[in-house]
Amino acid sequence: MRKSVRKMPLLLLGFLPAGVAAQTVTQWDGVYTDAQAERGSGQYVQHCAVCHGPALEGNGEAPPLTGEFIPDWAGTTLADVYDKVSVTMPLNAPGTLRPEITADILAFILKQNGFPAGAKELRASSEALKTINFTSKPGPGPPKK
Amino acid sequence: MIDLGLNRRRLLRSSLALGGLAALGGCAVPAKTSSAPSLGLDAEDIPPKLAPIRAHPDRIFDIRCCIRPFRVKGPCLDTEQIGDALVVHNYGHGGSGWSLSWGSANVAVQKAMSVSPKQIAVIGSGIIGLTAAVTAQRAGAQVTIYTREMLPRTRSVRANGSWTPDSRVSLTEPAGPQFGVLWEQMARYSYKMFRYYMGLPERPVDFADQYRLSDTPFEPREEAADPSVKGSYATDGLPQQNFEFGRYSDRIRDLTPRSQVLPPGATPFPVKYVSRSEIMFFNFGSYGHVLLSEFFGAGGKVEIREFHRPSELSQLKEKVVINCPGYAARDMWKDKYMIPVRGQTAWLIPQPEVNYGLSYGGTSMLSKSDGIMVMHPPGPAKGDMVGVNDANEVESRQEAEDGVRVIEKLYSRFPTAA
Repeated sequence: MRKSVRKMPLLLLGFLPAGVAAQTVTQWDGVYTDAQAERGSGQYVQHCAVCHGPALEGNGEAPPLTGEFIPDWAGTTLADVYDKVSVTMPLNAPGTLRPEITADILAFILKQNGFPAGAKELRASSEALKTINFTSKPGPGPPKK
Repeated sequence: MIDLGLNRRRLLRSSLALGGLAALGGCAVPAKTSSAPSLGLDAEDIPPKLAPIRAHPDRIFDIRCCIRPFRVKGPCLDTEQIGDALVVHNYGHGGSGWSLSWGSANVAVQKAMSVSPKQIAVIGSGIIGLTAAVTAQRAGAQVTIYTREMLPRTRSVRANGSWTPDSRVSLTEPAGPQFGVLWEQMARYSYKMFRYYMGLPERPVDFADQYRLSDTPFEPREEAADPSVKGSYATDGLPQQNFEFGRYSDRIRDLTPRSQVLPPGATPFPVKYVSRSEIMFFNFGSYGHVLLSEFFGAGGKVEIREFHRPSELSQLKEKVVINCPGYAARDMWKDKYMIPVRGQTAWLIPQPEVNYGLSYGGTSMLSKSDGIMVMHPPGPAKGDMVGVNDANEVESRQEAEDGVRVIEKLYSRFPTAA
C-alpha cells in the first residue's frame, strides 16, 4: 500500500504535458502581451515615472525598476510584485490603482526588463499571478529566497 | 499688513545697506560704503565680506595636470561580452565625471544587475569607478575594485571637481538628441545623491558663491556657430569651435539658482561688471575619504592590478565587470571617439577664510578645503576648445604662475582697507 501511494504522483506527472504544472511558469515564458505593456507604458508615465524615473532608473530614493529589480524579486511570484504595487503605490495615493492598471504597469515593467511578451495578458488578480514564479534566469529554477 | 511687511523689508534693506556694509570695515577688504544706499539689493542678497586671496606665485604648492576623458558621443555605457564575462562600460565623461558620476553609476549598475550577479568587479577607482562600486554594493553585490592606483592618485583628483555636468561631455551632433535624455537622467540622479554628502564633517560636498567678473558687459552665454570657422568634427575628426560641444544645462535649470547681476559697489572687486551664482563643489580629500570608507565598510575589496588588453577581464573570478578606465579606454579599448583634452589646476595654500570662487577672463579660482584652485587657459583658445587634442600631461609651471598672477593683479586693485 505504501509503495503504491509513493508511485502515484510520479505516474501522474509523467502524463502531464510540459508547462501545465503551474509552478513551472515564470516571467520568462511570455506572460503578458505587447499591447498590454503599451497600455502600461502610458500608465507608468502617469503614476510611477515621477519617482522611479522615465527610464525606470530610480532616483536615489525610489528604487530602480530594472537591473537590481530582478535579483531583488527573484524567488517570489508575480503576485508578490503585484501586491506590492497594489498596496503601496503610488506613493501619493497608495492603493488607488485599479487592478487592470496595476497589471498593465507590471506588464510594462516586465517588458522594460527584457522579459518576452506572449499571447495572453497578465491577469489583474493576485490569486492568478501566484502561479507565475519570478526568477533571475530562464526556466523554473528553485526559488532563490 | 502687507504694506507694513514691505515697509519693514525696505527699511531693513536700506539700514543693512548703510550699516551692514559699513560694518565690513572690520574685514580685510571692505566694500565701498558710499554707493551702498543705491545698491538696490534685498538685504539678504548683499554679499558678505569677501576675504582676499593671497595669490602669489610662491604660494603655489601643487600643480596637477591631466587629460580629460572626452568622448564625442558622450560617455560609453555599452555592454559587451568578453569570453564569459559581461562587461558594462562606464567611461568617457569628459569634464563632467564628478558631476555625473552617481547617475552614470546607476545606469551601469542596473545593466550589470540585470543578470543577477552576486559578485561584481569594477575596473578603476577614479570617481567613476568608486561611485560605481558603492552603487553596486547598494544594489546587493559584493564588489572588488581592480585598479592601478587608489583615488587620491587617479586623474580624477587632478580635475576641477565642481558641479559642471555638461562640461566637455559630448559634441552635439555625434552624441545625437537621445543623449540629452540620458544626460538629464544622470544629472538629476547625481544631484540628488550629492545631497546625502552635504553637512558632513570636513564638508565633502559643499556650495560656494561664485563671482563672474568682467571689465566689459557680459556677453550672452548662448553661442552661435562662428561662420568664419571652416571645418568641424565631421570633416576634420576634431571639434573646431565651441559651438560643437553639447549643451544640456537648460534641461535642469530648475535645479540650481539663477545668477544675479550685482550693482557697482556691491563687492570690492575692481571691475565694472560682476554677477554671482552658486556652485556645488567637491573637496577631494574628504569626499574621497567618505566614499572609500563607505566602500570598505560595506565589505568592498581592492586589488592593485593593471590590465593591458580586454581579454584579461575574462580571467577575473567575477563574471560581471563594470569597466571604468577613464582616458585609458582610448588605448585599451581602441575607442576612436575619445579625444584628449588637457587641463591643469594650480593650488595655492588653503585659506579657510575664503569661501567663494571667481572667474575673470578665462582664469578661474575656487577656494576648497584642500587648497585654492586656479585654472588658467594657456593659449589663445577659449571656452570648451581649451586643451582640445592636447595629450601633454606634463605640468606647466609657467601656466600655473600666469593664472595666479591674473588673480594677484586683480587683488592688487582692491580698494585699500579704510
